[in-house]
Order: sequence, then structure tokens, then C-alpha cells
Amino acid sequence: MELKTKINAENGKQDLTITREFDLPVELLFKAYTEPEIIEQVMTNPYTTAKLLKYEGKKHGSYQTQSTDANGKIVFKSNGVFHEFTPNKKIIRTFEMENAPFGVQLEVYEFESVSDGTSRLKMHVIYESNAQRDQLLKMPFAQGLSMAHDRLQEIMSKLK
Amino acid sequence: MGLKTKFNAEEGKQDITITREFDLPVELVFKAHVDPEIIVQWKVQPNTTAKILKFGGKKHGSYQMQSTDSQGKIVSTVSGVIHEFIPNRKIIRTFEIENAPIGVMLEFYDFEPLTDDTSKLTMHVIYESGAIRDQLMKSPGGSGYTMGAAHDRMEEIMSKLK
Repeated sequence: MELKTKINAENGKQDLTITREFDLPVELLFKAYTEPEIIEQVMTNPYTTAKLLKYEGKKHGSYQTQSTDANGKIVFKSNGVFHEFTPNKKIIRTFEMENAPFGVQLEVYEFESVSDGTSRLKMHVIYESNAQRDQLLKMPFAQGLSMAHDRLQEIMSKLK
Repeated sequence: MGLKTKFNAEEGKQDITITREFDLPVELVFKAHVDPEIIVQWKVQPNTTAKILKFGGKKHGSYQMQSTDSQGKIVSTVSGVIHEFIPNRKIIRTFEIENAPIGVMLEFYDFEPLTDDTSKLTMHVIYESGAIRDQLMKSPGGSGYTMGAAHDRMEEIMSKLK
């Protein structure tokens, strides 16, 4: 099955462009990325449960997440800072997967209204090096991201 | 003057690596980057006065600095957030010149002691695109000379504190 989230990774570069269209008004799409309870739901999957340890959704705010498996073991932690936070339009943040060899990324999220009921998310993710980007792409990164976006669509559809 | 700071910008890439060795212990080089009173003495463009509006020198902190000319007119405001802050070792932060069309940069500063009295700073600066990087490097403010001259100033200021 073709993934709905599209990833464009130019050869030899250290960045990625990710686009996804949602059957959601842009306000709901933005809400899914900035409302702590919804972020936790989107980040939670059949194997792990996500929790936000910190979330200050504002310019110069910061965040920290933690995911645990069924036995309560911590399997994933991430954190970062918000450089820019413009409701329904743009978020620029740093992102780091803690204790992982992928370094720190700069992420630019652009939220665009396509029609009253549809919207587009564009993510530009910049890595410390091309090697780190390519290493991440060897993992099931595209599938994982697209599945998270599918979950986001499903969760937010109920709030329409 | 200003040439002790080395720039490496690979063709077609969107990042640069800047290295500089100082005749200063690593603690003093780090201090020059995190002490607001010292920052305004060297991280300033010629003929302007710098003022720190905000400086949260810690992990997940943020900063804002404004430069004014002799008439008090604002010349530039820079700001960003601090992702990582490890004293005498490492700073990772974002950097933006407000209202300038050059996007946001992610900057990695690595501080290394070489001997008790000398140290090395390695900066890795990542831009949103290669085009922005190349445009900035052509501008007078973004040239290696300007940063090298600032590093010279910093070395002179900090030498007095040895």
C-alpha cells in the first residue's frame, strides 16, 4: 500500500522534506501538534504508550516526551525547544531522540489550509549530517511516520 | 587580523564548520560565550552597541540581543533557544536575525582544551538551505573576516582575565 505521507530525500543532502494532506481543517491539524493530550494519543501505538513530561507550546518554550512499553520500560525519550510558534501556521523546533546516534535536528513545520475541510503539513527536517539522515532512513521511518499521521487523521476526525 | 578563524564550506552543502584556537584556557573561552557582560563586548558589529534583552544560559533556555547605532536606532535583533548547555564543553542553539530573510540556523559549539592554557572552538552551523548559506557568506556581516575579528577581540578581552 502506498504511504500517504511523502518523503523527499535528495541524494547527498542532509535534509528531508515531508508532506502530508489531511482531511481536517488547518486548525484541527495544528491542534493535534500542540495539545498535550492529543500529542500523547498520536504518539501512542499498539506497542508503546507516550507521555509528555514537559510541554510549553510557545515561542522559546520546550518539551520532553517519554514512551514506555507494556512492562513500563522506557523505550524512547525525546526533547527540544521551540524557536518559533505561530498558531495554525508555523512551528520551528529542535528535536533530539535521547541516547540515539542521530544528533539534534532542526524541524520547520508549515501548516497550510487547502480548503475549509482539508489542510497540508510540510515538514523540513535538517540533520547534522547526510550520514545521520541516511541512517535514519534505513529504519522504518517513513512507515512509522505515515502510520502516526494516519492515527492523527483518525483521532482528529472524531473532533470535527 | 581575523585570519586565525578558519572556515570550511563544502560546495553544494548547507552547513559550515568554523574552527579557532585560542591562547586561553577552555573555561575562559566558554565564559566569553555565556557571560552577558562579556558577550556584549565582543559579539557586536562595528559602530554599534549591543544589549542583551534576555539570556537564559541553560538547557532549554533562550536569548535575545539587540544592537543599536550611535543614534540609538536598532540595527539588528538576534534571538534563539538553547537546546543543549554543558559548561566548558558544548552548546547547541538556534539562531535567527529577526526580520532578515535568512531563516533559522542550528549551531553546535564544541569547546575543547588543548593544553592548560590553550583551547579550540569548533562551530558547526547548519542553514535551512545551501542558497541561504552561500548568500550569507557573501555578505559583509557573514564573512569569515568579521567573525575572525570578533574572535580576536574576544581573545584580547579574555587575556586580561587570565
